[in-house]
Amino acid sequence: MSVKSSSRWLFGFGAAVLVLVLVAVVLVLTMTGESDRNLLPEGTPGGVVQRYFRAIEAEDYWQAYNYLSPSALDEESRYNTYEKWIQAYLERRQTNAWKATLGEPSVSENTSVVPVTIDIFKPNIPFEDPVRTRRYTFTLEKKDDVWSITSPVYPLYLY
Amino acid sequence: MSTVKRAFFYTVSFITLGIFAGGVGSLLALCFDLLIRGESWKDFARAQLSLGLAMLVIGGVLWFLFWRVTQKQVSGEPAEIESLIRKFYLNVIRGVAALVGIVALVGFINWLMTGVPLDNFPSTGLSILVVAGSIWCYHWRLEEGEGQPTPDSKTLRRWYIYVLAAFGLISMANGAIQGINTAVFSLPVWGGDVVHGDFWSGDFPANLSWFLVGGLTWWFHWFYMAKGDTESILRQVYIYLLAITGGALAGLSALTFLLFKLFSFAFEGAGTAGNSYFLFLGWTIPTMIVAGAIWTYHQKIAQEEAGQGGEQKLSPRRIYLYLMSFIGLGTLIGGLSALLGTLLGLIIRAVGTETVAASGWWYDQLSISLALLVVGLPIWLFYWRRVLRMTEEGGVAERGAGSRRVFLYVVVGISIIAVATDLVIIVYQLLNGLLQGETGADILRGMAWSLQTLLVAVPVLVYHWRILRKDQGMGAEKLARRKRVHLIVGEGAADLIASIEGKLGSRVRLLRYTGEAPAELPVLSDEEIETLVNEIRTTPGNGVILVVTEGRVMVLPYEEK
Repeated sequence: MSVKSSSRWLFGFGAAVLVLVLVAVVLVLTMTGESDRNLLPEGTPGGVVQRYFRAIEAEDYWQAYNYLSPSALDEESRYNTYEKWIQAYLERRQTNAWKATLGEPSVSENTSVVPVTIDIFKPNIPFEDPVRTRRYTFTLEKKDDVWSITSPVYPLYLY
Repeated sequence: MSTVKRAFFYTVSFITLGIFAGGVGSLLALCFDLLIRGESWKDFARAQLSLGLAMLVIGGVLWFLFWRVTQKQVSGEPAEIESLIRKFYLNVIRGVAALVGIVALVGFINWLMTGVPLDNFPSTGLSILVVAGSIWCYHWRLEEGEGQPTPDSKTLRRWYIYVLAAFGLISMANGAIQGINTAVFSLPVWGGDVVHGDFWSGDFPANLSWFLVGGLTWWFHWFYMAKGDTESILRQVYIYLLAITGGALAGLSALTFLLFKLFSFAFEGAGTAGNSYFLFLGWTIPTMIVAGAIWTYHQKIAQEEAGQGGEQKLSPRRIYLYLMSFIGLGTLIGGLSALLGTLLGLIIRAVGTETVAASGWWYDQLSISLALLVVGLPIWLFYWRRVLRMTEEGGVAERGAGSRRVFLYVVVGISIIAVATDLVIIVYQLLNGLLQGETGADILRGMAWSLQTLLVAVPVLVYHWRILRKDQGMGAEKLARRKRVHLIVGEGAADLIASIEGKLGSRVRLLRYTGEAPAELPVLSDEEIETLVNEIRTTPGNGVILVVTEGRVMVLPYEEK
């Protein structure tokens, strides 16, 4: 390949990269932050876990706390009041960006299990994968037709 | 460009290209996540966009600047095009890009085969595939367009080709074997009360993906890029050491395991395993078939290409024969030793005072010994007879070949160590038993393992020791060491070098003449090359410099102090 041909290829790559940058910027500015986008039905285990994470993302911690099962919180004395829970969370909370992806919930009468994958964005050096992945299993119980989270009730620090 | 400057530019280009590629990949994955997976996590997306843009802009600008300077230096400069650092850079880049792209392509095809579930869309994998594919494509065109004007640049290209061909072949073979094994496991004949998962949701799509992508990689590099490269020593290494020896080893290991399980079944039945006892057939038979196909195909290629070259081609073939003899001998020794162990066990139990003995204690030992013997004996006989024939035809030169010396010294060395260790243990057990007043059966039990290996190691040692002594007696170790040969020449000497290397059987190092070189190189006939090679061999000293002057090649011998 001659230098001229090489330049043509580089020009082509450069144009493609420019288009990619524009598309990425436009998509991020227009398509993210719509909290009601792709929301699951509220009365389902998946919908509850999803709203729990959305509430944490929106820093509406009181709302997030209300998705936790009161009986499970009573058993865990360290977090049995909102004050204790939010204090623990804010003390150790990290500021890295994160996202949660829900797996397929399994439901058995009044209990349910929802697998959740959390990707935390924490770049260090250029050649290291900036995304750290953690997996959690959320368990829920249904009381009076309302699903609530029984585990984990401790705040997810996401560091 | 000086070598240091060249190394600096290519190293910086390599690193900045990596940063640039990481940035492009990150943005591409972000677009896929937003468009296809419908993700809407604002903070995460913005963080990813920020890092992607930073890497893309900084890495991209730096790479572009350094690469432009490098490309300008290359323009119309043969010395830059054929520089070893540039060729190394281009081949490493396209090799790494190809391997990364292959893994990403397997993930993508696997996703397609599992029904295109949008929730599991491989955003990262597809972005890696696009970026690695683009980098590979650009550098592949660049390297193939420039060509390989020197033997060193040809060698670097060959490394790329045969590493990728080997990777493709192994991936294809492994995908086929694992795929068939998965299919066999899914057959409704193995019994069991609980069945979880089905055939298609298990590993099969991944196996099939590896088979397809591996096959494509192998096909492209072997049939297209390596086509006609019959003069290459790396090709011989690939054919003999990887494909033929590797295929034989894999197939024989599977055959040995299969025989062991069949002998075990004949002696003791399936035990508690029931129908599932025969699950081993699911991987042993496909391994034998696939390995056999690889072995047969490459054996055929090797035969077709045999005779087209000289000593250089003989070397990998010789290594292969000794390697297979070594494997056959090792397997045979293992089988004989295990068989002797079984016999000794019977004697010990006959003369001992043991009142409780587990029934069928010998099942596994006899099964493994028979399996090893059935496989090892024919292999050793077949290959060792070929070695003997080759030695007879090759005379003292053949006896002095490096691979033969290594084989004999390794076998003799291992045998001596085994005999010495066994003797120490036997004498210790004997003395200790007598002093402690133990019975004969107890002493025999203590030395059984050493006795069974000693009985095999002694004849092996004696046989190979005699061969070694005979070789030494015939002067095999006094053969002259290979000389260093340098050729000082201008442009376009590839054919001349190849002819000399073919007859000489060793490498000729090229020194580029920077003065006014003769316009035309001499075209030497086969006889003239033969005469030149004889002169190289017979001149005193441990090296020669060949100088092309006035239509002939002058031989200047030297002694390195």
